[in-house]
Amino acid sequence: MRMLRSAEPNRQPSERPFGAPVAVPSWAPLAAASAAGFALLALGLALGRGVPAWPLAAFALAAASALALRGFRGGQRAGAGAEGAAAETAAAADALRELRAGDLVAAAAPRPGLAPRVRSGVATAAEGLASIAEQLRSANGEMANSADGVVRMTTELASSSSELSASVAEITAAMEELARTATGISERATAQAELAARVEQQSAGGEEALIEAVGGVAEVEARIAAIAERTDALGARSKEVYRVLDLIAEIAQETHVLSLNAAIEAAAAGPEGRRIAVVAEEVRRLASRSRDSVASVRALLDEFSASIRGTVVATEEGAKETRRVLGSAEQAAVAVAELRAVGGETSARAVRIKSATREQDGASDEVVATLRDVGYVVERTSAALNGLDATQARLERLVLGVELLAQGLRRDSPNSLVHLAEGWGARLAEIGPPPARGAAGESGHQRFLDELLAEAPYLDDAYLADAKGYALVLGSRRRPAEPHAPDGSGGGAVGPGRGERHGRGDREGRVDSDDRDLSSRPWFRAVRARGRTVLTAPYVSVNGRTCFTVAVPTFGPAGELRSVLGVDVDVHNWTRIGAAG
Amino acid sequence: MDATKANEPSSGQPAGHLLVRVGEQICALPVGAVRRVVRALTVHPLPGARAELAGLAEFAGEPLPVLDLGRLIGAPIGPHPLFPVTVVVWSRTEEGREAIGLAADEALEVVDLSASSWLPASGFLAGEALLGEQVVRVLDPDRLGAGS
Repeated sequence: MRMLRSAEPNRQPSERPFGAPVAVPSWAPLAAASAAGFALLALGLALGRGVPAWPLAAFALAAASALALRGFRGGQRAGAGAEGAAAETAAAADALRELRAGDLVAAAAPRPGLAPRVRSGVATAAEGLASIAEQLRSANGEMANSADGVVRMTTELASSSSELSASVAEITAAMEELARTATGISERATAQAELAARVEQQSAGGEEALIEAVGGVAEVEARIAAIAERTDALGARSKEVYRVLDLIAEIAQETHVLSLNAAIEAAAAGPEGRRIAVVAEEVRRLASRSRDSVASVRALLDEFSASIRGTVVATEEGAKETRRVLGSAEQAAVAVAELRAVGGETSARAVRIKSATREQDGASDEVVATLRDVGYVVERTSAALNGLDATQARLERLVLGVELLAQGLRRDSPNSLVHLAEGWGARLAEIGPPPARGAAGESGHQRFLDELLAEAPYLDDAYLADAKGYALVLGSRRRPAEPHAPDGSGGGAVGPGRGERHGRGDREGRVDSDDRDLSSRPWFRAVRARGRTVLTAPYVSVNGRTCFTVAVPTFGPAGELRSVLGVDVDVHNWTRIGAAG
Repeated sequence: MDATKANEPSSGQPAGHLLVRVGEQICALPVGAVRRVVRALTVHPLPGARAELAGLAEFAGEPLPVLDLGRLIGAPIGPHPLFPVTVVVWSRTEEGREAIGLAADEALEVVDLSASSWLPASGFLAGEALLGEQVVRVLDPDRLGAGS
């Protein structure tokens, strides 16, 4: 959005003292200035900019005008009956007519027969009105700048609100994801805690079983040791048995030898020794049986001893294996105890994680709820800021209206669009009478329109119509293919009416015959009615751009209306380029 | 007792003999020539003596020459005997008789050898006889004294 900018901004209004207020006639320019002053005062108050100084000057100007009129009426009464009174009155009436029409330059111009006091009063009033208009434009420019700043800030704030809303939405989504993640972590921590608790419980059972196994293995080891000890004792007893067997065998051998000697003695005794020989033989047999028995017992004892030795070896191996199993069982018991401790610690940590994640989940929910509230507030703020567009558009139209109101006064200033337009009309009059209808070829009027469009880049189209409203010459800045802007609703120049085609002709001024009748255009009718330069109210062209039309009449030697110059001003270009400057 | 009569069995009449074992060989000594069977006596070898003479031992307060019966009959050396014995026999000489010790692995029993089972022999053997299926070499103690 662009607002109007003055070519000479921040000009301080001249404080000119005026007399006490008296009864003031209802002159149109003064009324318009006062109305504009009230409007801008109200606007300034509404925008918080304070009370500007120019409305006071407007009231003072109205008072000065009243004084001048009172002096004029007194002079009229004093000069009644004199011959120059009629001329003076007529001159004063002309000056006031110009003043009423807003042509401050013409009103202040010297007029023959006009009393110096009246002339001075009119000049002072024109100067005051010009000052008011300039101050009005300056204040309007400041207001436009301020409004533009407000618009920029509002736009930035709306953009920031939109970004903030998007960020809040992203953060909300992230927090919701975080909450879901926390819920998942809590569930996994719960499962971990249960698993760790089961591991701890089973580890406790396994530890008890291993302790029992270790005790059982130790008891087995003790019993194996007892068996080994008893086996050793049995081996020692076996050796004693061997010694006894050796003794028995020796006794049997001695008995055997003794029986042999007895048999030898019996044989030496002859028949008398027969009975002794029989006894000796029996003794020998007993000794032989004893030796056989000893041999049998020795064989059995050998087997028994071999079994004992095998038992001893097996016992030693069993003891060794038992010690190894016992060591392994003790290590397993230690490992299970450590596993149980780790399981307990894991369970405790999982429980703490579960508690922490639940707290985090709750906090995340609160944050999400808060973020949703923030997002709602941001969205409402963004919607409210977007709703300011309509207000900004109204403010822009108001600023444009005030600017056009100030421009409605012709002042001797390059900032006065009416003054510039009067200059264009003067240049057009110097060229001469407009060409006749249907004249072909490039004329001086066509060159003038082209030069005008080149000098004033804020002008879109220019038209030269005769006194009947017939378009004689046309000039356009747009390309031939581009449709023409005005739709005629706001008094646009030569554009077709609403719903009509937009063909405008070419650079050489050739136009369609249907488009040449401009007599019904508001700007042409206003010029016809007022006989002076007019500015139309702003309107929106068919291409959506805001425009207004400046129409300037030219008169013939007898004061008859000769032609009307109409130019379409693009407000955007006008304000951008600084048309007033 | 008459030693000659005792050492020569009468024809067809069984005579008592003491069986001793040397290795795998069984030898028989006439009971009439056997003075005593004792546990193996401690033998003191004689330097320069024949291999059959194991040495001298003490028996009843007198020195007793002891012959190695296994070497004497040429029997192979068997396992170490559990209860070796020394058989003291009478050997007749021109001056009378003398006691000689015979070192054997074991003294078995006193049996009667039938004369029909005798086979002719020479040297210090009186002959060989069959005891069941076992060949028994019958020693002549008198010839042992002459040989020693």
